[in-house]
Amino acid sequence: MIETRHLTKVYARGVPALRDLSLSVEKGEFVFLTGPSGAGKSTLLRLLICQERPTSGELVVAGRPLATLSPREVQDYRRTVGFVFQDFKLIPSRTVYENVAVVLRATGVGETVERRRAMQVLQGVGLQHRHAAFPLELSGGEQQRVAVARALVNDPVLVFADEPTGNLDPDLAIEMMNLFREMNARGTTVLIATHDRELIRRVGRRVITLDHGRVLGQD
Amino acid sequence: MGATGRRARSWLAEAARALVRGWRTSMLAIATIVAAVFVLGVALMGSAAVDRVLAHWGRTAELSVFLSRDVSAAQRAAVEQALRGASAVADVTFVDEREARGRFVRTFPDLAALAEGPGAPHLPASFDARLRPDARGGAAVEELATRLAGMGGVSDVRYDRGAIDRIASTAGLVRRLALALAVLLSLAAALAVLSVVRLSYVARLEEVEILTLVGAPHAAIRGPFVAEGWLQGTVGAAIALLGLGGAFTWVRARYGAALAAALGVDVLAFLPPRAWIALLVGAGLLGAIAGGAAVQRRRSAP
Repeated sequence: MIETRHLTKVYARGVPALRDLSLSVEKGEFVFLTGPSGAGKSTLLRLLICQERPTSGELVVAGRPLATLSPREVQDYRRTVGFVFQDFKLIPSRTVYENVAVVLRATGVGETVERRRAMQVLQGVGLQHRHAAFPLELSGGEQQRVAVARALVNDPVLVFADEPTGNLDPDLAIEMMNLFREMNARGTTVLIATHDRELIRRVGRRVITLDHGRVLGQD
Repeated sequence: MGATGRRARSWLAEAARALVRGWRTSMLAIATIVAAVFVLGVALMGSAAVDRVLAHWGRTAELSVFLSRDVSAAQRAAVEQALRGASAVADVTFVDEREARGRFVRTFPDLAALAEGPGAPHLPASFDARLRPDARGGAAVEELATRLAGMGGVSDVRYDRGAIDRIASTAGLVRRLALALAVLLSLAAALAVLSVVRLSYVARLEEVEILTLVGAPHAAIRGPFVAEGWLQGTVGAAIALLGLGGAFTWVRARYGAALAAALGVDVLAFLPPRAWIALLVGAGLLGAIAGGAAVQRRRSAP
């Protein structure tokens, strides 16, 4: 599902964030990406959602070479993946429902399907009763769950998450992981970047450890 | 409702929210549109009024040939023959000195004593020629007037058309100036809309970024901003038209009768529906274009 070969990303000041990185994630896998701050986790995720382009090397996701996609192909690609941002990236002026439905609107589904699917996924994260609330009226944990609901709403083949449990207490973090596990059980490939070793231990899945932009080890 | 209608409704709702949220800056854009449409509307109405006056005056334009005091019977007959023989002339009336004095007294009753008392000025006899409608303003009349002016016993030839043409030429210049001002104001309005929508865009950059990251099409991201520009343009034009309507009603009530009496024709008429629809649509389009330009895609963006 995800294949990187000799992937390198060097930022403007010449600082390499990823160095000759080669790894693969199979379809249907649940993988943790871990490592200390500055290891390259977030950079790899940014490359995976085409927020940035690699300096060199190959990055192929679901058969698409991301480095060479046109802007229109990038739009199409992004509609097939889900992403949970570390800072949630919820739209403050829109309700919980609208924040989730925005993805479906981007894909052009009808109003009935949109309503059914958005409410379904909100129910899945336990927030159907807060669908009319605005993000700033929610707790950190609730905002995180809205972000997860938005990532899941279009049934993506692949979900990326950047520190998705960073603002949650341990119980909520496990609850959140259960959501990802359920999603993974339905066939979605999941890649989560986190430095929470305890969480990784409790969930017990494949782990790729990065350090200084290189793969340090895989468990 | 179809997908397009639903999308348009959603963009308009967002645009309306943005308009309310940033009402202070939106007011600036709307005010410039109001000014542009108001000036354009006044220019159009003024232009139509001038056209009506000139058309009315043109229809009543006559050629008057004033005879000198010592005109001989032969000279008078030659002038009359020249007039009656001209194809541009429909009818000829002779006005003798007594009739001329009578006309003066009827036109200026307050000055009657001047015309009738001892030492009253000489009011010359004249031929008044009514012109054929198809000949008015033509070269044949100009030639006839020149020829008559050179004939013996003729002291002066007055042809109203010349004055009308000069007024029309001045009115045309004023009209062009007004239109140029309206175009300048329209450009200013477009720039104001562009700046205001740009501000709105910058304020919502995070939202735009999120929409981009979830794969929203560029049209879906730009749509609300284009709608915002359209809304500003349309609201501005609607306010301007209401203002024009109010101002027109007031001017008509206060000065309508006096103007009609002075100019000989009722010149005041509001813009026809076709014009105000064109102003509404045009201002909306201008706003939409400015809104679209404000969020033009940056080519370097991924």
